[in-house]
Amino acid sequence: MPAMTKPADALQRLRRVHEETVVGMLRSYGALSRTDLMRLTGLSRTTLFAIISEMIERGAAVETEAAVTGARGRGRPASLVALNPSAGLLLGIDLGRRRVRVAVANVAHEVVATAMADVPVDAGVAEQADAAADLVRRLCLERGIRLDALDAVGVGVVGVVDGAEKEAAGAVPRATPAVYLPVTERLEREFGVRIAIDNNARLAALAESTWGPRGRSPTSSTCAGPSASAVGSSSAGGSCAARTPRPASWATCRSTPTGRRVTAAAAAAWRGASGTRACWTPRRHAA
Amino acid sequence: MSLGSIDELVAAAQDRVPAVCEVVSAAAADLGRILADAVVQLDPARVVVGGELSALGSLVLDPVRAAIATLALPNAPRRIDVVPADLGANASAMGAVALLLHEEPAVPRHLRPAAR
Repeated sequence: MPAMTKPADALQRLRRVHEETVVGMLRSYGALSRTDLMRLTGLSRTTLFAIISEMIERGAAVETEAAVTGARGRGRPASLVALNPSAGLLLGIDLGRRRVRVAVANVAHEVVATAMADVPVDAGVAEQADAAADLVRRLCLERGIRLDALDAVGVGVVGVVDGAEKEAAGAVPRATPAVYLPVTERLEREFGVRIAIDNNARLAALAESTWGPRGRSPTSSTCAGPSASAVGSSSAGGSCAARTPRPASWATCRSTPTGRRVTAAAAAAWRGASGTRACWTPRRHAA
Repeated sequence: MSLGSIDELVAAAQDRVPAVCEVVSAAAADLGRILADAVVQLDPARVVVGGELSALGSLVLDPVRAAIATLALPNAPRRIDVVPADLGANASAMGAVALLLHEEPAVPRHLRPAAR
């Protein structure tokens, strides 16, 4: 009965759009009062309150009390609505040659904590993964972060995570090159969630377009073609891609949901053609 | 001279220790040469240089700019911005988070409206 279901579907779609607007505002702004939400979303009081109660009932949102600042008026404190902070955490791990970095963020794009640890230069990927897992455990202990609600882990690695290999794997999305399998296996064992892996210079470009002010603003108007940002990573910590003798390897352009192309150029020039030692290592420049 | 870590290298370069500056700017020139290749092929509007060493500013960025200016279509009228990254050293780790945020649906499944 298409004629009968159509109006209902349209209303449901509308409702869904409204709910997504509310979620979007909570993601962007964190905790908000109902008044603020009404102002930001432009939704009617009735619609908004119904959406919020349903979200709270479902556990998607929580109600918190506003922090009392200064002298308050009478009445009970205004309550704030926020996305359930335990609803999802994301863990980002950067496995550099000498340094492992981790970032914990929540679904609201908020970076909750970051940490780093040095690893020996000659450590293999498995040892780096071990170091990262230790680091995460330590960080969570120190900062009281609970990983119960961990959604997924993203891993940035030095070197080429080739698109060809991904495609060759067919239906399996984002297949991992064999050399990084110990990493994903180790981290899967540790955290028990989905692991996504990519080249870390590429990821730096993606981060730049996600969090950096340049990413959010339209790039140079002098550019006629699709605007793109390239990140050449100059980190001795190992953000240079490619151990390959070819001095440069840049990742292919990837589309972000915003439709912007982000290009990560990772130059291996930083560590010379041998690809084993950065050109400024103390051993070589010891006076 | 002997440097124990990347932090010491950055500190030494910031103090403009001549030997260190030489090594860093030579490496930056190499990076610029590679990036010039990339610029020719990809025609970006901007090159963002990240990592620990990008904190060194002109010491790293100027050789990169010079290499791009001379090697990548020297007669082209358009100038390409070469700028340091905003996010600093955590960029890649944050990028790994961004990867998940971009791959996942914008609203995670369990936050989506139950009504279909």
